[in-house]
Amino acid sequence: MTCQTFEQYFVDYLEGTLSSELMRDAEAHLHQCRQCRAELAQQRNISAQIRRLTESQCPDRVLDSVLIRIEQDRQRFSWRTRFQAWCRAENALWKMGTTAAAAFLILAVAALFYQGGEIPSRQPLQYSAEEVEEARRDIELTLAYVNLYTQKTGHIVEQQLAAAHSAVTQPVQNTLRLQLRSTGKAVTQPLEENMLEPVNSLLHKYGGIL
Amino acid sequence: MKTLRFKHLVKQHKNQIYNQAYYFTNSKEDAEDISQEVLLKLWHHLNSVKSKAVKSWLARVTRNVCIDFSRKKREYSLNELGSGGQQRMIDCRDEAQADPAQLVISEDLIRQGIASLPETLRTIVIMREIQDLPYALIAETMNLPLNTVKVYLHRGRKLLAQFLDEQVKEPVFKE
Repeated sequence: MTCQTFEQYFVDYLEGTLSSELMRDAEAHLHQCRQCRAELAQQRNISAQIRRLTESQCPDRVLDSVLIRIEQDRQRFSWRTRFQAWCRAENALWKMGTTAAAAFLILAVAALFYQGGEIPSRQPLQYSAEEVEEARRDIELTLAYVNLYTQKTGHIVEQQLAAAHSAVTQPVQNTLRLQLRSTGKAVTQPLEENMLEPVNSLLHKYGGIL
Repeated sequence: MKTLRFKHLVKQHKNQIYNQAYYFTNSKEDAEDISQEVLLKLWHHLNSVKSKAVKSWLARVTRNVCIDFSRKKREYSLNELGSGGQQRMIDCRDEAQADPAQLVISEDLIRQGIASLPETLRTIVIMREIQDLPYALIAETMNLPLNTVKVYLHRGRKLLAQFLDEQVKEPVFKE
């Protein structure tokens, strides 16, 4: 074994994870190579001293700052804040222009749907009542299990959460979005956040299901 | 639910992030800034990071943010002692002067030495020697073969030893 070859096995030799054959070769090389012996002793010392460095605790203010920034971002981009900013806008001409544009848009959309004096009926929902009912049960069973497990163990069971999300199939997700839309709520956040309110009310209703 | 999961992950991994940043930059203030940045990225990508991959994802992102941060700051002075600036001895032996292999060195000097290493070697030394992460995780984080990680660790230690040999003049410190 040469010095160059020994370099590849240096760390494994120090940690004692070489095969018996390689260990024999390494020790034979060390026996005759003073430079590698010296380097080995030096590295043992360096490693030991680095490992004496203690891990510091991350200050609590780091998380506090992060949570404040997350909240600030939420408020900055909420529709309510944008509307309030629009109301406060001093440029009257701009406000009149945007109001006129919005009114024109509403009238244009209404004209598209208005046909010969008759108002067309609403498009039927994509799923039947039975499918909606089945989807509701899927959601409530899956998430009720997760909530119950979390309450009993005190753990946020990430694997179960992931399984719950994957169990909520695309048709079920679409159904939930339709249900939410019918209540007038905007679906702008990830699905799991919007599940809380309808799921909690369902859990209250079907509490004894588990 | 998202906030709950986020707080749980932060509690589990915040020290890992902070220490990786601290030893990379040798500055507690910079480590706090970097940790905030990493945690914000975690928040924004929370839905796409799988639970099993969180540790390596965080290690990778922390490393990238550290590198970006240090490049913006241009360089870390070797003369900085880090926050506090206090020298603490781990051990003290008179015979250290005779045998460099037995030399015992101050904690601040070791941190300076680590911060002076090339970025890749620095990250590997921190992850293995200080955070005691397994080689497989380091290899995955750095996107390097396992054997290469071990060779780089060896080189990192070697460079650190050379740095410390050059810096240490008086091995005896009295408190």
